Amino acid sequence: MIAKTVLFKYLYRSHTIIGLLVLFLFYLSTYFGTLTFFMPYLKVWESPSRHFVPTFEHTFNIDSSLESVLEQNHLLGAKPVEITFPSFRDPLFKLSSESQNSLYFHPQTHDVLNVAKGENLVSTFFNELHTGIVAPLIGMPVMGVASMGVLFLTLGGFWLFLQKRKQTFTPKATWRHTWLSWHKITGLGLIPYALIFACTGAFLGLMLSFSHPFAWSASSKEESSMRKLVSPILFVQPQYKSSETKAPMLAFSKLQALAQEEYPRLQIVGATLYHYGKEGAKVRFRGFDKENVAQSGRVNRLSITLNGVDGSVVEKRALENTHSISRALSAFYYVHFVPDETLGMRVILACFGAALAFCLVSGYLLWAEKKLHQKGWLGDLSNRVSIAVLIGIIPSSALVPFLQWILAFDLFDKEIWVRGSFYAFWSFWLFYCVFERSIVTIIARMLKTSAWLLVLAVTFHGLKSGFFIWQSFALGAWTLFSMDALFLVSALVLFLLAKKVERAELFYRYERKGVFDGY
Amino acid sequence: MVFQKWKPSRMTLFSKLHHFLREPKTVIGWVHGTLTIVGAIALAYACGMSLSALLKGDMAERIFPSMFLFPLLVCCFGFWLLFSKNLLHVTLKIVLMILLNACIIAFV
Repeated sequence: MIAKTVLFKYLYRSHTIIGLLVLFLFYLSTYFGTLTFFMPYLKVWESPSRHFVPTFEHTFNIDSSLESVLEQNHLLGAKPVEITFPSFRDPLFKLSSESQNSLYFHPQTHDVLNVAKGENLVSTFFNELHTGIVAPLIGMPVMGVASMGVLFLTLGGFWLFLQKRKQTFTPKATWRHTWLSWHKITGLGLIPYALIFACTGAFLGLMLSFSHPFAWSASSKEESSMRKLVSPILFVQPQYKSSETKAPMLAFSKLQALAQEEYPRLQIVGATLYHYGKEGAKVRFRGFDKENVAQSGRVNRLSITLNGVDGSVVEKRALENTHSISRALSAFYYVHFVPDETLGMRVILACFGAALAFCLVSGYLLWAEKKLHQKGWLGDLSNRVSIAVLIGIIPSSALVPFLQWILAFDLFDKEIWVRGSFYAFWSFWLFYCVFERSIVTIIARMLKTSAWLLVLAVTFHGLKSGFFIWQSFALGAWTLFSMDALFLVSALVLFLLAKKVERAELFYRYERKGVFDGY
Repeated sequence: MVFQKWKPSRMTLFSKLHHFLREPKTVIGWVHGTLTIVGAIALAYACGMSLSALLKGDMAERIFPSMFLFPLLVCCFGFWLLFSKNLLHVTLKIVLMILLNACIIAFV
């Protein structure tokens, strides 16, 4: 066993090196991950088709038009038809079937809506940046590796804390000690949060695509594809025999009420229609267990299948009938995505996400303080590049919702324009960080630009959609109102921060000669 | 005067390598760091494969536990390899664990 002093040194050094290696990637993942906690609401805000005042708890009645809608859209064939009910995640009524484009309906008027692909551009793009999928092939595994690095940092950081606690320590009033205290306080407080998100992140990013050795070993060296081995066990789809004889169906709302009566713990989120309108028609209502949301998440939906003609129960898939791995997988997904949780839980998790981002930044500042007293260009250049990544991402991401509303929705290849502008704007900040001598000016301008872009995004949203913040409030369109309010509050906070940065003495410490003045 | 052509001694090279591997370090070098990272990932995969081979049940019950545990295994092996006195210890730990897991995978 190595000596305790060497052990401490090894821990400290590995914490610094691994920290610097994964910090920037994990910061980006945390930043966009925190934004995607609000994805269901952002999805409504950015999409003109979803701009209406929903009914209380998104109730709907499609009894009168379901059959005609299915007939008009050629959905009365042998293929099952998936229905997704309106909810806080998406207020539209959605119908989808295999090898067919999804159809969206207004839940009150039952009109078919032409939902363009680009309508959910902002939330999709932010989610892709969070998962790293924007870099094809390597993006997700790299994010998975970064998550493993954070897991190592969390465990190592706690170990370091235990080691250091034994030593007598007299705190000095230096900025290094201030950053150390903040890094330690936030790091220790976020251990459960970081462990959960790093473990699940590593699983989703790395393990879902690189689990071949485990599959190969489990199948006695016969098959290396995990999906091939596992899908027939975990994701079995029911098969029902078809019949060509037409038969009258019970009203959809009647069937839904019967399903709820038979399975009161089921919170129904959707249904699947099998051979609708025929003699052997079945309707499978799926959802989550109200008393066990985590284990009945998106990958382990519970269901009750009714006969479409007489409403008798055909099959019931309760939590106790599901596979133990499906329950574990569902819990694993639940803690990462919180799929069925509404605003309250999402706000709490977003606050934790912001604290984790601050913890990562304070970790970088600890290293920056150390480099401050060393000669050479490395410290200054790395500070500037770090500002471009850590703070430059704010105005660059604020540009995306602004462009979503200022550019025409039918613009050809709008997605490419918006994504390209995001990368170009981010690159601009990188050049500006090297060009501008004063670090304080750089940070203040970045924050002010972000604030202006958010205000402009809200303004253009109001102008183009007709839902200004006061109108959303008056009509009771609470999702639109809260998103507008969130953007405006964020703009105000960013503006105040910019003012504070200009006055704070702290940031002048990092101002050195600048690259164009030589070193 | 006749100059004899210099021949590298095998013993010198071996002793140099031996010295390099056994030399106790006070800081983590590039070789130690790289070996630790690569070794931790390799050992986590090897251990997960052994676990999948040893577990009973259907394919999901045999594959998923290894997938869930993989990130934690990487960290545990990372610390174990990191706290080695010298490079020889790091190498020995990796080789022996790989051999042990290879035996489990081959014979179970």
